[in-house]
Amino acid sequence: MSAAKFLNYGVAAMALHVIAYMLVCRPKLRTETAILAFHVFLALALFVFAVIFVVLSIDEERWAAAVALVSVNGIYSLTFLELWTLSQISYSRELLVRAKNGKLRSASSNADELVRLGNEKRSARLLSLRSMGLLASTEHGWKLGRRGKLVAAVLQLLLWLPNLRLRG
Amino acid sequence: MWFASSFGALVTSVLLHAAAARIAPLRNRVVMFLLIGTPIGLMLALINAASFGWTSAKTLAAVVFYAFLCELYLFLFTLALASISANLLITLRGGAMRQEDIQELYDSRSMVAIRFNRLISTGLICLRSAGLEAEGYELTARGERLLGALNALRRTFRHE
Repeated sequence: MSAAKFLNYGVAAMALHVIAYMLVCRPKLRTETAILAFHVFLALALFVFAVIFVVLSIDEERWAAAVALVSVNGIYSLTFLELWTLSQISYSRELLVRAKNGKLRSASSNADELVRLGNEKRSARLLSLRSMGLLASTEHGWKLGRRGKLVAAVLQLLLWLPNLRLRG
Repeated sequence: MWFASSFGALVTSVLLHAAAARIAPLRNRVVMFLLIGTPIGLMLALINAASFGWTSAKTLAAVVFYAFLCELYLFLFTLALASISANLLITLRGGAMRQEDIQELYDSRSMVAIRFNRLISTGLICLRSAGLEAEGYELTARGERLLGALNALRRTFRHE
């Protein structure tokens, strides 16, 4: 199989993925876990396809084609998941809707309804971070776990590089 | 060489972006990165095409791999900025916190206020003319376009 044919098959697989989502899977993939699994499945399939393609005849052109396909899939899935998450319920969108309906007075007067969006998730968030090994609970409260220290350091670097300070 | 050139282009983009973010700290970071990263990506394409040709898989791989790394970088720093979980992890670098302190720091009311101020500073909402009407905020044209796009996405993804 040539590199061009390999890339065509890979792009066709991504096109089928989109068609399958739009025509069949859309009503069933309503949660973050489900939509992530849908994309991880494609990513793994393409990764295995790429590895087989490279291993069959190792040369730089085939290796480049494999990296190109995995990168294109990365761009597709990352863009899809970002748009999917962005369009879910959020404080910002709720504020925009209220502004459009002429019901936005100030942050404080609208906060009561909007606060409910965050309160439910706060406790679940701490437990979720603990289950991932990022946080540990002690008699004094919460602290970073070993994995959490590394992740927090990387996140801090990601804020420092583009000189970002305001968080929220 | 093509693989290393993608990483080199990314490092160059990130460093120039870091410098620009310190020279013009009030500018939108995402737009700034796109303005810096796009010409670097074009140069990457030209350099690789000169070595391998426009139709080579190596040229394509260098450019799309760079594009993917750029998107990943954008995603990660916007996540670090906006994600409450990410913020919490960064805050805990300063030491352990009690449950009550975490609840106070991440009080949902202050989260709403931060979002509100961000919508104003990015020009998505503005103060309605006072006149005889009570003070309030309304969508700007930009806010209308964004809300329209978000609603279209919600319908596409069946979030409603």
